[in-house]
Amino acid sequence: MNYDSYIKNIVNLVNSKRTKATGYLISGGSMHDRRSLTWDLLENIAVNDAVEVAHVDLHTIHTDDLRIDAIKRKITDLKKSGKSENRFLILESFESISDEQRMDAVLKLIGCQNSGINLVVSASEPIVHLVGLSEFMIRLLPSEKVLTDVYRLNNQKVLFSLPTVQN
Amino acid sequence: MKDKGSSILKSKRILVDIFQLDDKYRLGNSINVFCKALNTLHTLTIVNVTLCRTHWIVYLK
Repeated sequence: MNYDSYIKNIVNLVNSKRTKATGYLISGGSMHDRRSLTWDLLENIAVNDAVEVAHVDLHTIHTDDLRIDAIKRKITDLKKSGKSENRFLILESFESISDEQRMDAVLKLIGCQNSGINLVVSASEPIVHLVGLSEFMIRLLPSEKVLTDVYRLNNQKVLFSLPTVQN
Repeated sequence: MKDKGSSILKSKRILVDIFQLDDKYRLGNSINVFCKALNTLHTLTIVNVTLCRTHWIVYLK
């Protein structure tokens, strides 16, 4: 499997019909790797007209209050949009929110998922709260031979992966 | 009194209040559960966390 078909597989997974909103957690690897993967996903998810996407890069915002404010604003925007299905809130660098304020942000995300908005969150490590909100984990560099894989948390299985060495 | 340890061992899950979840429950961490009835200590690994209304459910293996 090459990188493009790997991304395509994730996008198919993300866009498949679900009864309940779910979450995807991107974790591990370097910040640059996470960012480029998130951007590739963002570009490929947003091609469809029926899909509504809101994106926040928390790393570029300087205080926690502003970060939570930005999340709140994006959720309101998504709620306002008429499309009832396939709405995504994409957050980058969730680890930049400090421990004290983390729960506030998590509560916002819980509310967001309850109103049917899917979450795609990237963080340097799998923060427990994010794991709790996610069904799938997109791991970067989970082992030496694997560049990235998609891991299903409820049955601890890898759905598909991309090896480091390409044949 | 019901033995808490054996009920955790039976269900392989722990209920955690929504505000009580912290870093000690991160994936891959091990948790020691003491079973009074068998007088044994079991080490279980955290494999998943989900949210159910006002509680997080921590799944062990």
